[in-house]
Amino acid sequence: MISTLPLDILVIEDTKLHQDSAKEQFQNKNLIDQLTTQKRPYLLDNADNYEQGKQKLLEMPKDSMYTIVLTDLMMPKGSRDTMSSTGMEYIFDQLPYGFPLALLAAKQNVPYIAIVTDINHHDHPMSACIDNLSSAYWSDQSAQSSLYKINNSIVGIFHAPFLENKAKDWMKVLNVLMHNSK
Amino acid sequence: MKIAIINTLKEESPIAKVYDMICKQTANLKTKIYQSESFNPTLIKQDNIDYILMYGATPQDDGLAKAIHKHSPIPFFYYLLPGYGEHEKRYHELHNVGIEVYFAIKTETMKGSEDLIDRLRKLGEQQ
Repeated sequence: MISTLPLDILVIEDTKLHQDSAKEQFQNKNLIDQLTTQKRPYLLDNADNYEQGKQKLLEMPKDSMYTIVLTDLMMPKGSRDTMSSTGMEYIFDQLPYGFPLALLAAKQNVPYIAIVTDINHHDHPMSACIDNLSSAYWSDQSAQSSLYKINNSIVGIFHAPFLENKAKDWMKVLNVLMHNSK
Repeated sequence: MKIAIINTLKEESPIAKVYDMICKQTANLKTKIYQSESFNPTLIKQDNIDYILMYGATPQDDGLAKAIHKHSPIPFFYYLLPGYGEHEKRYHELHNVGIEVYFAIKTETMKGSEDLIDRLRKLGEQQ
């Protein structure tokens, strides 16, 4: 399915390798052109942590909201706002903010959303939790069954597919989201 | 050796400047003052920091110290100011997570300013 929407993408990711990979992959205009009929330049925006991602989702006007939000699962909070002494102790921890960010994006009516983790399911309990929502590893066959419909948004939850340099293959995720059967 | 001094007040704070001077002159340490709002543990490796010295008067400052220490393997010296009361409780909570705490005033149960200065001086001697 080719979208008629402009592909304005927000990538929320705290790992530089994956940030750079997103920039590199989404700068490939030919690949993007395969996914949309829109010919206007598209926006690629990024956020490094939960607070930045949240702010971008809340501040974007409804009529120019992102079409796609791709978020990492684990990341730091990125701000100390409203934290008590106890809350402050967690501000640098990697926590599963990908889930609330995906739900916030759905609340903001972003049409396509994906949570994409690079953590092996043996290495972190939150990554293992994804196995039953998706699959234990990326597989092209099971990727379609990892899609959910939440508040009219298509939401995918994935163990990341990887490029040869171990960076996330964002384009593969985007293709599954855009060619969904939901 | 390099020590990061984390300033929890505005940039002109005399406390950070005094400790900066003590670290340079008494302990012969290289120093860099960071504002607490912008400090995060990734800077420890990036800026080759060997020690951290922070002072704090609020529960939020205490929480920040614990958060930094949790993500850092280097010695952490905390100068506890009696801003928010319950300072003895605050002292022991910080001490219990492995932070070297020094209260503004030395008591029977808490190390004080002079102990911190002596600790810094010994760091200088070890170099």
